Amino acid sequence: MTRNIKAITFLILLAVIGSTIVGPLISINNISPDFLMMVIVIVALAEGAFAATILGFLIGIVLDLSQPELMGLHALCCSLAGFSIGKLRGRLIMDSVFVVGGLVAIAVLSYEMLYLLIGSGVVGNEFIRPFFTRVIPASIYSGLISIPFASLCLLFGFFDYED
Amino acid sequence: MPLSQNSKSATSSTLALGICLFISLVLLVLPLERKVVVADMLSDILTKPYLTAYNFITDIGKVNRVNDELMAEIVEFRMNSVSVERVARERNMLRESIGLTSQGSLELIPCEIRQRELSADTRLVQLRCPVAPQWKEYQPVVSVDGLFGRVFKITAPNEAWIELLTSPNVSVGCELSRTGLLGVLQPIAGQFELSLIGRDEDVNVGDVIVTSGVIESNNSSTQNSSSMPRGIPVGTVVEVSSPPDRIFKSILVEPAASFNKLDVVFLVSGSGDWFLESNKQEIDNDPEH
Repeated sequence: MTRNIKAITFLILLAVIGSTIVGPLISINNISPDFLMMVIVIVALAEGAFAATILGFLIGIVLDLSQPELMGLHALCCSLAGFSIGKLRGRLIMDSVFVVGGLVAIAVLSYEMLYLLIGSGVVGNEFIRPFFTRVIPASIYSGLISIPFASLCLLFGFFDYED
Repeated sequence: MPLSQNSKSATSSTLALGICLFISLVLLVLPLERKVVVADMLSDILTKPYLTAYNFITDIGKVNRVNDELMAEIVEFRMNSVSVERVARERNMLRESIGLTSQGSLELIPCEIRQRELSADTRLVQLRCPVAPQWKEYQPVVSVDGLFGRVFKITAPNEAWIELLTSPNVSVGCELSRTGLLGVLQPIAGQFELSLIGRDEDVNVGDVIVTSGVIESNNSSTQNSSSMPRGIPVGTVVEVSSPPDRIFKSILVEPAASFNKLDVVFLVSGSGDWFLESNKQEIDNDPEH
């Protein structure tokens, strides 16, 4: 864990810059890649469920600050996503960037779907339309954008660990 | 990794998840007022420094361009103002001649949105004014393009949370500027619908919608009636239909204001409207005015 703290801090910084600066620049029809979920997935694969759950919760709380009417929902979804992906660590062969890309896409899809399901119940929005127009494109886009990050992580041995 | 260490790691991660879920659920079931207070306190610590720095840097980058645009607009407004003043003078003379009294003009107070990138789900945003204005509950907030939202909760002398027009709790009394028809604008499933307009009424695609100042209601409260001044641009009609099973038209509206990215909005004070002299006493006693 200690050897990767600097790397995790750097990744979080990259994700924050990605979300606030790069995301709006590369958004297509207001759909941007979810850089924060990419970091949660990468940390989950590198460090395991504990670190990813805590990181997911903290990132979720920060996201909740922009939508106080659903305060706690991002934290809940992100920590669940971090925990679930973290539990997969060691059960996947991390030799391809496409595995990471696929996991990011699945994580974004599950997280956004859960958020939408609970959120639509709380504020009364519909589920189907945003699911097809926003959630699915965002998860595919995030999966694709995560591939270069995954290549860097594989290159620097970020996913290597001892059993 | 030894088995006991593996099991310890699994226990700690499950425990961490349990604690995180518990805190999340507690936050989720809090009443909205409490959520706003918690978000306000946490944002001061977690996001305020970053967002302040980020907004400052992005502002520096666009100062010159915005300044040039503003100079061009000033010149254009100066050229237009002469004819507008003449028309307004004539209109006011006519209004006075039929016994109406001015309640004063609208005043726009520039305010800064703390988080400028808004997602489609955003319902509340935090607003900061350079000076402490006279806040009022449900006071309208406009962007340069049109109505943006209304004051939801005042958290500091110069800070408040704004409920966006996209919030399902908001409904705005509107009128079609071409015909003067009155209706109520409500966000429904990510779209804006102008309701309560009869199926035989004259409504066309492209009609501009402004606030009527007649009704401005909330699902849970009706105390805020008439707090919205008349004439604020709200949007444009993009789709009109008369479903056979409904007594009202189905009118979809494209809002004038953008809810994706904003930096400066304006708090509206004053009503900018005219009233009959006989009603002035009643209006002056109304706390909403």
